[in-house]
Amino acid sequence: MRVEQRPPTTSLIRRAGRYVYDWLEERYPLTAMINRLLFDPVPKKWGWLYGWGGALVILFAMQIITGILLVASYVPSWNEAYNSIKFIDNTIAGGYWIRGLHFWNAYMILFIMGVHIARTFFSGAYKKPRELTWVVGVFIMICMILVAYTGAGLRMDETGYWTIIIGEHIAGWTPVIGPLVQRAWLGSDRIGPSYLTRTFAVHIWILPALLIILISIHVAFVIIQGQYGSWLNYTRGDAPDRALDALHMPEGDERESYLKALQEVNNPNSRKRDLPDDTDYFVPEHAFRESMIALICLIVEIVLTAIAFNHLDAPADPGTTTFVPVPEWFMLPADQMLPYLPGTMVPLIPVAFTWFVAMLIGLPFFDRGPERNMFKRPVALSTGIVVVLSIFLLTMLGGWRIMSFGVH
Amino acid sequence: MVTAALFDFWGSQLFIAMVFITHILTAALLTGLNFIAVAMESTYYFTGDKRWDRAAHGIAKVQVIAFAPGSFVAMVAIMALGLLWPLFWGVIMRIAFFPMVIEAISFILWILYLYTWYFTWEPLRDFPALHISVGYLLMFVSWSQQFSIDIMASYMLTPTSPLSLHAIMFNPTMFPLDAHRTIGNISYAGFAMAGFAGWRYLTSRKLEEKAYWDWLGSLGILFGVGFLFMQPFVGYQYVLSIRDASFGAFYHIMGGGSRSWLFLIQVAILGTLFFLSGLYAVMQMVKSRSPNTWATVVLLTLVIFFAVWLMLPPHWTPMIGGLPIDFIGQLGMMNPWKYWALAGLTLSGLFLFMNYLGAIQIGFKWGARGITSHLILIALGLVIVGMMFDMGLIREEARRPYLIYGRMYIEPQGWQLTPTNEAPPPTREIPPLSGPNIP
Repeated sequence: MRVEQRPPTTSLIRRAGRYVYDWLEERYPLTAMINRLLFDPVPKKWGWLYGWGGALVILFAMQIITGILLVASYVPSWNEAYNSIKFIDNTIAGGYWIRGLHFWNAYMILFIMGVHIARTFFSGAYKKPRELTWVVGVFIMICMILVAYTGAGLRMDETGYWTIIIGEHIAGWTPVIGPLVQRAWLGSDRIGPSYLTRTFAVHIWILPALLIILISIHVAFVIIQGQYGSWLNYTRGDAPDRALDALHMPEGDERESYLKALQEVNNPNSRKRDLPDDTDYFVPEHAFRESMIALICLIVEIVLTAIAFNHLDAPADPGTTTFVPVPEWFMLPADQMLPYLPGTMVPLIPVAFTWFVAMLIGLPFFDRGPERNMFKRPVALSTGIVVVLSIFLLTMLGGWRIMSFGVH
Repeated sequence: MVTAALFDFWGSQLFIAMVFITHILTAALLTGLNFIAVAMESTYYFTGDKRWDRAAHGIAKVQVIAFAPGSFVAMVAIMALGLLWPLFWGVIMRIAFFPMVIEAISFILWILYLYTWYFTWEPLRDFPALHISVGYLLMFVSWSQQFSIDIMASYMLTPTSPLSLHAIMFNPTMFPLDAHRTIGNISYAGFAMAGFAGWRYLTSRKLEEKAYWDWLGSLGILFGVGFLFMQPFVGYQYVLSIRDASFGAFYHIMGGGSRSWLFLIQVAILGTLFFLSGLYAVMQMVKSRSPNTWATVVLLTLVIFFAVWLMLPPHWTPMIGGLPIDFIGQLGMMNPWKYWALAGLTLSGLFLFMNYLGAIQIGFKWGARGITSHLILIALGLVIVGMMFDMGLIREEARRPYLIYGRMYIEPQGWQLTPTNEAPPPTREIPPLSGPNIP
């Protein structure tokens, strides 16, 4: 009799699942957590512009996975490192593809990160209350550049080796702490076998650990405060107007999404301050956008791996007098400044870059005006355009100079 | 004594120079205006501020009016090359055939997109994204036309193997020249727009009209100066590329050769542009009683200081009170002193305009009384033409006496190629009669 009363679709597995869920829900705010994590309201208008950050998380996860696979075969030894790379490329099944994806994915992360930072800057998303989200993001950028830089040195080919040599020299010129940093990195007062193991440790343990922590904090801030948009997403005015508008929305997912988001904002315990005019759920709409961006990146990486050989020069030769090191593309803006400056002014370059990073960190604290419309922030808009154009031009000119004349 | 032969030699150069100067001044203006107009129309799309739409539409109108005469001058230029320097024209067309095909296609597309863009302004009002897309296409084809011409122009100064299309297209100065001209054209168009706006301000009667032209003039200056900041750095890489690929040409125009004084004129014009723009910014801020005007005045003083420093000739020993001031001549040396002067000029100018933008952000009174600042705008419009003229002259002089550097001399004329009993009077300027030397 009881069996007949049971709904036909309720299987034993579903009932068990429901029991576990209810058990957990009774003890933890499971539904609230899932709602916050998966069904958060996000800007719908220009939503694709807000997908770069999520795509970066996916690409970073890919980098971790391919990195772990590479660690299984890479030998961080002065004499064996180069051969182990050759072994990965030529002998291990899929090794060429794993290293290729790791290599191109690192470049892709740097590029997408630049786009993400530019979008955040131009949309004014670094302003109150998201100052710390921006600051953590700047530290993520620094760590990402360092992890790409140290990765190049692990190949123990000519380019990688000399890239590290130049890097440790620059680090050594840092005022006060320079020699200490240099010695801690090299394990000696000059380059030797210990530099490789230390660079390896920094590349696979210290920086990824830092990055995981920083990215977690960054994402947690975004979840707590809500996905942010520029003024483009807040054109209707104050909340009562938007609520009124919501009443005129046709029935459907969009209306439900908006009302749910409004309820979230009006909750006195919510940390969210404002709500975009048109919202989507994080899952599936926004997650789809982020996944699509990541997928396109992955396709580009696959194509690049297929058509461009994974970078590997001849084995490093510390005694070479003929090899001329070429900087990584993301260091070209700094490198291109060298021809412009006489020798006496060259030490100004690291100073200028330190100043640039300091300005980035301090940006939300000295640009405190509430205006987010970039067309009403001409100082920020002009500065941003000049910086973006300068980086682009210096990169292109530096690349052109090296391709045409070599480094000199 | 002026002979027919001498007139033929110099006359051909003079005619071609005049036609090309007219063509380049028009084409560069239109190319630069395309970039500005599309940025304006996009801004209107995002902000809904009618001024941007009016300005973009006005530029489109200028394009429609100026494009046909500009194209006519281009045709005259091609005819002139074909008639006066047929050998050179035949050779360079063979070398740069494919870039010229791109150029021709771009020209046709330019016509198509320009008139579509202008005449669908109102019909496509409800489809702004579509209309802006046409504007971006127009911007791209005008730039691609410049790009293809830059291949030929850069090849003429730093030639590579004429047998390899890749080597021709990616010759050592192609990208630096293209970047330099792209940025320069936007800057030139910005200053020209400011000059036009200054003139229209002075001739307008209604307050609203004056406010609009005042705003547009200020915007033109911001485009002009904003892109001018990048020019010394991009231009310097261009000069370095010339030095590495064609050292003789570099020496001729910058290393102390006979045409190096052209660069002193160049920095004088650059300093004048920075100074007049800064003066305009100060006057606008004074009129609007903006805060921090004093800081802008201090920065303008620094601009003047660095501009004068940049103009100092090297090895110059002025006498002040009977005392030779040797160190001033030392400050005229490029390395390291003029680097410092250039960095100082750029940075002080940059901070000056940051201040100006800050004043606009706080609030500006557009259309306030006063004619001097608008006369400055007109002056800037003229000075930038001088800058374009001097830059073109430097590039042409760098090649002299060649048309293709190290490969082909300025073309001999008919009298040189025809045997005659009456030899022309020899002059130092007339190139040897051996004819072109093409590898």
